[in-house]
This record gives sequence, structure tokens and C-alpha cells, in this order.
Amino acid sequence: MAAVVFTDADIIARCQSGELICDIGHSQMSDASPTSLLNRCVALHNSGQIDLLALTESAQFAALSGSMFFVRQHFFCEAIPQLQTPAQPLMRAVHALVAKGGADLAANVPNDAFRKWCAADPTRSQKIVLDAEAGDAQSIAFVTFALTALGDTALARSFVAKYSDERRLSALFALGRIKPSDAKDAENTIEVLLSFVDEAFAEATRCNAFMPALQICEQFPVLAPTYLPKAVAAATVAATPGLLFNLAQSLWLHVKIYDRASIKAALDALKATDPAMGGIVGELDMALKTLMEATAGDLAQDFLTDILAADNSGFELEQFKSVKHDLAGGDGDRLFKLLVRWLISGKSKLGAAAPHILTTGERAAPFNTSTAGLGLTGPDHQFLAYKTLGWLFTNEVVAASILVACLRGCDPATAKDIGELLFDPLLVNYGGKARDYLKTIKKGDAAYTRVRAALKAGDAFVKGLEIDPQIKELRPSEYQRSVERRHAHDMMRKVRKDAEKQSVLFNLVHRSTLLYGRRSIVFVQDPGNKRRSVSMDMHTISHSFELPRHEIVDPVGLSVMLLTFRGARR
Amino acid sequence: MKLLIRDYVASLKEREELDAILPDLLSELGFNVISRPGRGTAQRGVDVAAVGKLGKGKQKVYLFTVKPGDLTRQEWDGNSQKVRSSLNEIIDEYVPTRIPAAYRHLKVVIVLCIGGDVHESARSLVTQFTKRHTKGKISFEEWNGDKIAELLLTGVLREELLSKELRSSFQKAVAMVDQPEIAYEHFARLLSALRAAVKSEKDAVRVARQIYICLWVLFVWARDIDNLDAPYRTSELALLNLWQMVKPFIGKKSANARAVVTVVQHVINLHIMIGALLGNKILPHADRRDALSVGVATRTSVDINLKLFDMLGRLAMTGHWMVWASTLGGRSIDAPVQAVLDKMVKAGMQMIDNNPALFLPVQDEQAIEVALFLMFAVRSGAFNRDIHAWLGEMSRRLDIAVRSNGRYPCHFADYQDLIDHPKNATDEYRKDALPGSILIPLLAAWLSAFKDQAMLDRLIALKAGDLKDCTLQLWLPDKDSEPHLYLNDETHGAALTDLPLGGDGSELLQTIIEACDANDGFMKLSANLSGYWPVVLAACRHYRLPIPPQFWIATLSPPTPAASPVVAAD
Repeated sequence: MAAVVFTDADIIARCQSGELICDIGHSQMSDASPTSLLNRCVALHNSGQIDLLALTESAQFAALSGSMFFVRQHFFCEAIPQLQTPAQPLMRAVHALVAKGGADLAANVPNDAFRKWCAADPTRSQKIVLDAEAGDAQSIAFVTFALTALGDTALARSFVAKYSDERRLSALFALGRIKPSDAKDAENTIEVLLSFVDEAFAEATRCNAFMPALQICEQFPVLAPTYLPKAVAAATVAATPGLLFNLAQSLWLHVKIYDRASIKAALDALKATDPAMGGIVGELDMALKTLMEATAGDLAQDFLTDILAADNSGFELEQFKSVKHDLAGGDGDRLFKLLVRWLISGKSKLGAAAPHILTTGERAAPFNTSTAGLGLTGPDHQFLAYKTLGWLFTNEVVAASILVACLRGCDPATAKDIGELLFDPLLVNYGGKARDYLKTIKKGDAAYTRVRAALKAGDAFVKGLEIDPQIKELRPSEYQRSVERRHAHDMMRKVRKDAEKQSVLFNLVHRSTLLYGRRSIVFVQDPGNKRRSVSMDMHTISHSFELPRHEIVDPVGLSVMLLTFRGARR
Repeated sequence: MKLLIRDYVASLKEREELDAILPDLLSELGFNVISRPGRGTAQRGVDVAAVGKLGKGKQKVYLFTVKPGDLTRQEWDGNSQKVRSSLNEIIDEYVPTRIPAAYRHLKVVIVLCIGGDVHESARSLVTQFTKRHTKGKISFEEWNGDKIAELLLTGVLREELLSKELRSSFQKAVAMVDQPEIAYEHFARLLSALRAAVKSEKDAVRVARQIYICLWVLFVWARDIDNLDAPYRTSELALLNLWQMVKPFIGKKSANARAVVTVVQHVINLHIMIGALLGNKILPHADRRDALSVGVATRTSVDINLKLFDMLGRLAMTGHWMVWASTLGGRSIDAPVQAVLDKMVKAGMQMIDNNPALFLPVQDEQAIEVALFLMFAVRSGAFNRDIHAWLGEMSRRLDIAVRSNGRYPCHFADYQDLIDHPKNATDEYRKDALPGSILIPLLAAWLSAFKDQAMLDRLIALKAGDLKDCTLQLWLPDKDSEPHLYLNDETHGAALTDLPLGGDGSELLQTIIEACDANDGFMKLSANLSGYWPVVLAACRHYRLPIPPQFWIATLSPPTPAASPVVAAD
């Protein structure tokens, strides 16, 4: 829609009809400009010519959805701190804006605008506090912002002591937002907060006390060694889902003030998390990612290993996307050790997770390392080789590199067995990248002799596959070939459609399907009704992978072999 | 059509190939064949001798000396095997002493029968020789490929006998010989139409010869393009059709009966030859791991499975025919033949070991091929350990494939269903995919004979668990089988169902024995009555009917409690 410049009369009329909602976002003028729609609306509102907040009660507002809403929400958040208005209609409007934001992370932004509005004039906050004390429901709901804006810890603490309803929760929450005047004041606040983390209190109270306590510790790190362990210890007793959520969140929000014992205590408590609770798992994912980057990476790995290994835990590696991404893309040595740990554990759930930790999408790169120094015995190495083949068989290059790492770190007798595994099943099934990788192992490498022998056997095997001239009688019929081609085509189409369904990009972009040509030309509208052509060249995106030869030659045997390796016991 | 036949005649490579069609050709031209080619017998230069007349000429004695391919200067003279020596023998020995007394008064025509042409280099030598020796009652004729093709087309394949429509089917079969399924369809149409034209015994003789010659033409063309698949299938079908035609002649001693039986014998020989040639192509690669599997050149494992089991079945069938041919007239198999048979079994075992697709069929009906090979292999007595290992591995894979909802054998016949199998892992699908099985009772019976209790227990548990709804069965020819077995024009026979699977398998064996004892359909099959038992096997293989247990049950179980089974536990 082309930008339209409204007169004041237009704005007043459109505000009354509710149509003004539709105009928001179409102004090409910066909000900083005095003549911007935002500033003119604020001025008209403050002069009493329009009721800007009433727009949040209009039918047009109710009809907004998705990005259309958040554009308007942003407009209101910019306007609210500047508005001259009684608290009641503003609280109603803020409530409406927050409610319409739903579960979106940006939904609470209007609360911050409200807090700024409160901070702009302390009498506004005092009035809300008084109304809350008088029992006004709307004021009670917003008193936390008023208390925060006032910045009076003593007032907030008195609320905590005086009330046991929502006002206490609001005050507890506000205490975390108000910076204490000094360490003593902070200590007093923490003392108050800690007493409410106790299991005797309801979940909401405990949560609203726990996080503020940590926030203050963060502001006064000197207090953290004393109070954080206490807070964590209290929170981990009979931890409810809300507390687990806060514990997980605190591990990434306040990791700097966490001591190792408290991290471990928190993580131990978090093992009780219900994997179906996506919110907690999401926080846990962030926590583990943060811990991996901090000095407690080992604890994070222990935790991840424990929850994935447990037979009935219900956790899947895919729930920890951030951790997975960091592990796959981070320190190769760390990943290798974790992989070895998982594989050698013999736990099928960890084995099944192993392929998924290798990569974030593209093909995983081979390891260039050795098992020397991991303290593995000969049977350990053999067991590791079996498990590697069992679980990482379709990641043939990585599997080959782990076997090579074993060859570098194991005794000669074990090396002979592992070298044979390099040939069969690895090179018997893969003649492409795995072979290319193995050819990169140079003379002087501890694995060289075995690798060369495997390559030689592999080449002899491949040569033995040749039948010249081909035996025509073995060929499938034309009909069979045609059915198979159709089958493959249908399968690939389904794969493509499934991939499109899973793509985050497809929901965000406009999609055009080109039936002809190698280039698309489209005309777009520029300011001033000018049209401009945009040309886009087509490029090829391709992905390939090598199927194990026995997937075609002997699929049943291949699955039996993989099952055997996976189920191997020491 | 003439070109087709001309090329066919020219392509006859071996002496006995041209010999083989000549008597039938002459018979159809109205000649009385008085001497047929025989191997190793002194013929005094004559390969075929016949009495008759061509066109409106007088009756003469025709003495044929046969030379496949072209006649070159080198082939003309040099040693006793050359054409000139044969002609001298005819003139010097055969004509004076060997012509039956009844025909001595007739003029003699010595026919130089050549598959191809007389080369320029040999032309003058031939002409001088025939000029010099044409005297008295002796004259010479030259029948080259062109002449033989002409005689075929004016004789056995003349238009009154082979209509345009049938010639079209025949030509299409030959033209599409590199696409065996299509060639088979056309040839089957030809066979059906030829058989329908039989109204008298004389017709039967003529049609039998037509079938034989058409089969030869197809075979020779297929051999030239190095694809014996179509002739293998069509020769088996031709044999079964011929058997249906020969049945009325069984027990008769008329000339027609002898003629038809002779043609059947020729077709059997041709079928064995095709099978052996096919074996010669396949078996040299059996000792190299995966070579034959990769030789299928496909992207789907189903193709490999179908092809390799098919080839194993053909190998076994060729073996059975060789056993039958070697024991005709109650002879025992001599040592050289036994060595060849053992070599074939050994190659089959290597084929299984090196192509693991053969460790588990994708179709339950491939139990036919399993049974054929078991019967062939076990009679040697030298491969029981290999047989046992094969069956054990098959049972293990069957168990794992069913339990893991992998590619277990299914009853689907449609190729699309086969490449989709398994579509899902539900019980419902499995019940649909394997509602009944002939493979499991076959395996159980043989494992029971091998006293492999562990594997038997796995099958028993599988049947009691995941396959509890699968009907175990075998098939027995019934009284109604004889009219339909060789043409497969009607459903026939009886299913022996709900076979008991438990304990050590003795109850299963006993049930099968009792069912076989009570069944009189099998022994009343004309092929069995007349000693041509491989015809029944061929019919079962060709029309996908289970091999009747009468063929193998005696191998597994002693006829009396005191006797020992042929198959002994390893």
C-alpha cells in the first residue's frame, strides 16, 4: 500500500472508527520525526482529541494476527511511555496487548513500556501501589511494575511480609528487578527471598523468590558463594516443574555465579524433568550449551549422557538442538571423546544418538585423532570398533576415521582385527569417500600398514565384482526397471515434499515455481509508484550420499550385521 | 521370414545342431528318414539318410553329409574329418554296402548340406569333385542355408501350417529375444495356437516338429545376442506343452507315437543344452563374492533376490534333467557325470555363500527354488554340511527379518508390491504380506531331519508369536492335477494345511509322510508314470507351484523305523 499522509482530522476520524489500527506501520516516516504518525497520535491523545488506547478494544485490533499484530504492538510500546493517561485504561490496554501476544517471546514487551510509563512519574506508581493495597484487581496485577519503577526495596519487602496473595508474588518478583542500595540491603533482600524458596511454599512463590535471589547475587557477586548454594539447595528439594524451569534457566542466565557443586546439584535435580515439557527442555538445552562453553562442560556431558542413556527417560538428542549444534561444530577432540564414551557404554540409546551428534546437517568430517590416552584395552578397542560400525555405518567416513583412531591406539593383535573390519564391512560396502579418506593415511602413520592392507583387499574385491561381458540373463526386465524408476521417483518426490514441510524458510518466503527457463524476472514496486525489475539466476543445489553396497546386494544381511554389531557384548 | 530362417540356419554352429533339424525337416517334406545322426557310430560319411522325392521328381535315396557354417578350402580337404573324405566314404563304402536292400534299385543323390555357403576358394574343388563322380545312379546336390531355409518355409513352416498370425507371433518372439518377457509372451501365444490346431495324431507330430524348429530358431538368435533367458523360458514352456500333446501317445508303438516322443526327447535335449549354456555363463562367477549380485545391475535388492533364486532354480533343474538323462533305462550315473553334477552343486553352494541374497527369499514362493536345489544338492551326499548351514542361516534371517519387520518373505507376486515391501511394521500388514507359507514347513522339515533343534525352536517360536496367523502349508498334486499341471490352465491339487510345528519336528515329518502316502495324485501324473519326473518339477517351477513333498520327503525320513534317513545330522 502506498504511504498516505493523514490530516489530524483524518486521524481523529479513523481513530474513532478503529481504522487507524490499519494505518499503523504504513508510514514511511521515522518515529523520531515530529510529524510521524506515532508522534502525532501521541500528541492528539495527550491533547484529549483521540483515545489511542481505546483502539486496543476495537474490532480491527481483535482481527489482527501474526506480524500484523506485532507491528502495532511495537507502535503502542513506543507510544505508551509518552502518554498522559490515567493508569486504569492504560493497564487495560497493556493487558490486551500482552494477551494478544500469546506465547510469543515478544508478548511481554508492553509490560516494559508500562514500567517506563510508571518510571516517568513516581506518583503514577504510588497511585497503583495504593490501589493495589486497597485491593483493586487491575492494580494488583500491575503492581510489580509500579514497585520496580519506584525502586524501593523496603516497600517491596514490606509487601512480601504483609500479603500472601498475588501481591506477594509481585513484590518478590519486583525485588529481583530493584537494585539494592548496597551489599547489606542486598543481603536483607536475599534473606527474605530465600525464606520463600522453601518447599513449604507453593510453586509460584518459590519460583518468584528463587530467580530474584539469583538476580541479586548476580548484581552482588560477592554474596553468590554464600547464598546461591542455599538457593539452589532449597529449590532442588521437591522441585516442581516451575522450579525445574527456573533452575534450568538460571544455569544459563546466571552461570557466572554458579559454583561447580551447585551446578551438579541443579543438574541432578533436572534429571527429574518430564521430557514432554518442551519449555523446560528448551531451557535445559540452553543451560547445557552454556555449561559446555563454561568450565562445567564435563558436567553437561555427564548430564546429557545420563538422561539419554536411561532406558525409560524419554529424552531424545533431537530435543537438545543447541547442544547438538555446539558439540558437532565445536572442539573435535571433545566430540570424539564423547562419541567414544557413548559407543563404548554399550547402551543402545546412546549408540542410536551417536550419528545425530556428528553433524548439524552437512556431512560429518572424519576425526584425525587416536584412542591412545583414553585408557582403552584391546577388547575395549574391538568393542568400540563393533559399536562404531553398528551405529555409525552410514557415516562411513567418520566410522573409518574412528577405526583408524583405534588402529593408532591399540595393540598389534587388536589392530589386525580392526584392520579386517576396515575391509569388511566398510570397504566392501563403500568405494567412495571412505576409500578416499583411507587413502589419505600416509606412511609413518601408526595405522598405515593396516589401512593399506584393507585398501588392497578392497580393491581386489571391487575388481572381483566385474563381469565382462555382462550377463544379460541377470538383468531385470524393462517392466521391472520402469516400475522401479517410478517407485524411486515417487519416493524422491515425497522426500522433497516432506523436506519442504519441515523447512522454516518455506513459511517465510513467497514461493514461485518456474516451469521454464533458467532465470526469473519479477517487477517490484518502488516508492513513487516506480516499477523495477529484479532478475534472479537459478542455481543448482545438490546433495549426494553413498548407499552401502549391501543395502542393495543383501539388505537383510546388512541389517542382521548391524544388529549384531549393535547388540555386541563385551 | 525367410531371412529369419536363413540367418538361423547359418548360425547353427555345431554339427549336431544342423543334424538335429534335418530329419524333422525331411520328414515334414515327405521323406522317409532311414538313418538318423548318431554320435560315435560309423556312418561312412552319411549323417542322415532318407528316401523320398522333391517336387515332381522320382523317388531317390538321399544321403546327406552335413557341414555347419560356410564351406572353405580348408574344410574341404585335409584329413578324414573333412568334407571330401566324407564324400569319398559315401561313394566307396556307403552306397555299395549300406543302403537297405529295399532301396538299392533307386537312384542315389549325395547331398552336401551346408549351413552357410560354399566359399569361392572351395567352389572349383567341389564342382570338379561332383562332376567327376556324377555317374550311373549317383548324382550330387548342394543344400546351402538358403535352400534349407526355403525347404523349411515350404515344409514344416509353410503358410498353410503356420498362418500369418502365428508367423507374426513367432517373428515378434525372435525379434524381442533380448527382452525375454515379451519374447516369452509371443512364443507362448504361438505355442497355444499351434497346440489348438492339433486334431489328429499326424497333426500332433507336425506341430511337435514345428515347435521344435521354432524353438531352435529362437534359441539360435538368442545365442547370437548372448541372452539365453528367453530360450530357457520358452524351451521349458515348449516342453510342457509338448508333454500335454504327447500324453495320448504314451504306451503306443505307432510311427506317430515314436515321432512325437522323438521330438519330445529332442526338446528335452535342447532344454538341457540351454540350461547348461546358461550355467556356463553364471557359474564361473559363483566363486567371487557379490559378483553375480552386482551383475544384476540394479538399484533395488528385490531384483537381485529374484534373479539369483531364479538362477539357482534353473541350475538345479538342469541338474535334475542331467540326473534323469543319465539314469534313463535304469542305468546308474557314471563317474564322469557324477563329477559334473558334484561340480554343479559345489558351484551352487559357492553361489549361495558369495551372494547372501540367497540366504533369504523375498517371496515365499521362492521355496520352490529352495526345494529344487535342496533335492539336487542332497542327492550328492557330499554337501550336507553346506546345506545345513544354508538352511540354518535362512531360518536365522527369516526370524530376524520377521521380528524386526524387515524384508521377510511375502506372498506378493506383483513387482510393485515387492519393491514396496515391507510397507509398514504393523501386525495387520504382516498378516496381509504373509498369510501363508510354504517356505517355513520346508525349512522346518529339513532342519528337523538335520536334528537342528536350536533353529527349529526359533521357527517354532516365530510361528507361535509373530506368525501365529500364518498358515503353514504344502501342496500335493491331486486327481485333478494331471489335466492341468502341464498347461496351468486351471487351479488344481490340494493344500496340506495347518502343519504341526513343534517339538523336534517329527510330527511334522510324520504328517507329511502320511499325507503323501494317502495321496495318489502324484504317482498318477503321466510324467511320473512314464518316468519323466523332471517334467513335474519343470511344471512346478514354471507355473510357480510348490514342489510336491513326495519329491523330497523320502530323503528326510526313513521308510521304516529301522532305516536311517539319507540326510544325517552333521
